[in-house]
Amino acid sequence: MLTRWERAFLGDLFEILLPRGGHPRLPLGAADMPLVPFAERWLLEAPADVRVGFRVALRVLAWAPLLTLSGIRPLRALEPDARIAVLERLSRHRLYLLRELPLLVKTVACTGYCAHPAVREGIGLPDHVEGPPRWLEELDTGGPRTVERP
Amino acid sequence: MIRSPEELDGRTVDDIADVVIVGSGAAGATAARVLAEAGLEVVVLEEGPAVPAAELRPDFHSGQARVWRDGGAQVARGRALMPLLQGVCVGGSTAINGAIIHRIPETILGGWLKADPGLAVTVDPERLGEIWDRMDEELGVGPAPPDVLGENNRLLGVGARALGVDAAPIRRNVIGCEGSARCLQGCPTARRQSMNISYIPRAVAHGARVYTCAWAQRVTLGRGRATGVVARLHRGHRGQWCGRLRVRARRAVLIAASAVHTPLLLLRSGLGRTSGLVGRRFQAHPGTAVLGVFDDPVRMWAGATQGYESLHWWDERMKIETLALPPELGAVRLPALGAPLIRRLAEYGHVAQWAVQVRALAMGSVVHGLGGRAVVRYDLTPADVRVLKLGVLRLCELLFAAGAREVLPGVHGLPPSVRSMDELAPLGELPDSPQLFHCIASHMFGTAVMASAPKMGVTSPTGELWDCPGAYVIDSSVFPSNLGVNPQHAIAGLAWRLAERLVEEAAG
Repeated sequence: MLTRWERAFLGDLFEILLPRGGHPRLPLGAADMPLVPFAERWLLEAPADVRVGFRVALRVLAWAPLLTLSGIRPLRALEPDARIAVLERLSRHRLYLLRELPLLVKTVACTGYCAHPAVREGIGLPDHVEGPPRWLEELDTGGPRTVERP
Repeated sequence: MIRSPEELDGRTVDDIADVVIVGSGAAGATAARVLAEAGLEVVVLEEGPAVPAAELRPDFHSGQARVWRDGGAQVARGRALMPLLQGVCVGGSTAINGAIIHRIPETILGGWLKADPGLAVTVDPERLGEIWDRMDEELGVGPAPPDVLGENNRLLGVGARALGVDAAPIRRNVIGCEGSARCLQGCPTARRQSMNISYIPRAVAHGARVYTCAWAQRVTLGRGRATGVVARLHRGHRGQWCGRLRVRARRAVLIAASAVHTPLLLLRSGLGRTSGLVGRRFQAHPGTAVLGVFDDPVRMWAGATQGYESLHWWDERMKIETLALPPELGAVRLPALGAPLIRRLAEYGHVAQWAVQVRALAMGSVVHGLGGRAVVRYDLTPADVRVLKLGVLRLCELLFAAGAREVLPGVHGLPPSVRSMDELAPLGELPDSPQLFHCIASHMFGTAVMASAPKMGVTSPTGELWDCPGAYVIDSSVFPSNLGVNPQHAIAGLAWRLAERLVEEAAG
């Protein structure tokens, strides 16, 4: 559903937001789990305007350095620390819609990341013993990756 | 009998009953139970699926995708975007709420009757009181017991006592709560007496037939009155259309599809046009949350999702309550990105979250959007924003009084993390804009309001449409105003009252 560029950029964003090795109890990062396929499922379940908004958000985020007066290069061309700084600046932007963009991506990323049994165990939730979420099970076993829409 | 589209095998199905009810939430299920027990033949159409507790998983998304409307992405549009949380499954929003039980406050009931004395036909405080007493007994309503409070709830009591603020355990409709803090995903132990666990089974035991995954397309008419409902069937929450259902109603069509979707069904059916108020006067209880970080573990995942509340400032249009969120949602509110976000997540077990809910003055509207989806327009008034600001300040004060070492107010223009009330002083200088907050709304009202004169309302005080005999609206769409408290019991109580009027009429 997402284009190759959108998938790659979204993967980059997820890794910026949720990097590997951030804490001894949470060593996994976004790169260690299928968060981009999860995001595609999430989008298929969302209303059309949210899907469109998400894709527009990706394009705006790609040029976030311009919007935050942080340079004229796209986000992917920056060093990791500079990317985080740009996204943080954008999340405090005076324009409401712009500062909502990192939050939108963070919402999807955290929904998937915090569902992972290893993350739940690291946070301390007792329910990780009940097994992985349905979507992760399906993605791991090659189950349905798309949701039929009316 | 509960029938899914799979059983119907893609056919066009015809059915007939005395009463057809659209929606199986607080209103629809209660009416179904009252009418079925009175011996009437009842058919209930539910847009979502039946989701047994055994199918629920611990993670948030697995439940959200199955039982929340639009997977939780239904949003009201205004100067700020505001998620509107609704269940779409058997039991409706009662299957995903915090099990909070309140009756309609006396001042609200009194206000309704003062503004329109004709409402007393059904809005009868004495009879409603009797109904709520009975529902309390049947649904196991009582204060959250100490053994399922957990720290998130207990700490609100600590903070309130320290400040001399009235607060108490919440009255909930749960029997044998295990405190898994998973109310919002669907109770994994089926202890919450949501309508899918309580009144729908009772209605079914008395012969009611429930069709799941049945989206009510329109109300059918004949000889100037409602004669039934045409619905489209789909496979699952977001499945493909797979059949049609035509249900003829001998006596009445009851619409209980929520204050967002009831007006849309009326508009699709060309009904309720007398007053021009269908879809207007949308009201809600917007709310926002504040997080506190404590030295000792809080473990929001152990205890009732919502177990403690304060009505101390109810007269100022605000209600304070605890709200344990799973880390998937809580993480979004943590003010960090990258490695700092991971570190914040690692200490999520030390985080408490409480919320303020506002009896907002704002009124919005509901109309059809592309593909028949709801478009809700809703903007908080400056006065509402001022209440929210005050609510956030009080939440911060309560959290500090309970011992929080750090508070995360979640307000644009304030520091993301504060360690004293002094740091919150700039809040008063910020503009009264809804864009300061991340609000949600989960209680909605008023889009097909009842009144004793056709020009003042969409329905009569009995819920019957002024322009269509035999068609009734029985959910919170008919409420003349919002309540300032969680509305499940209010909605169910009024639906019971309207349903028993129908039974009396049927008995001649």
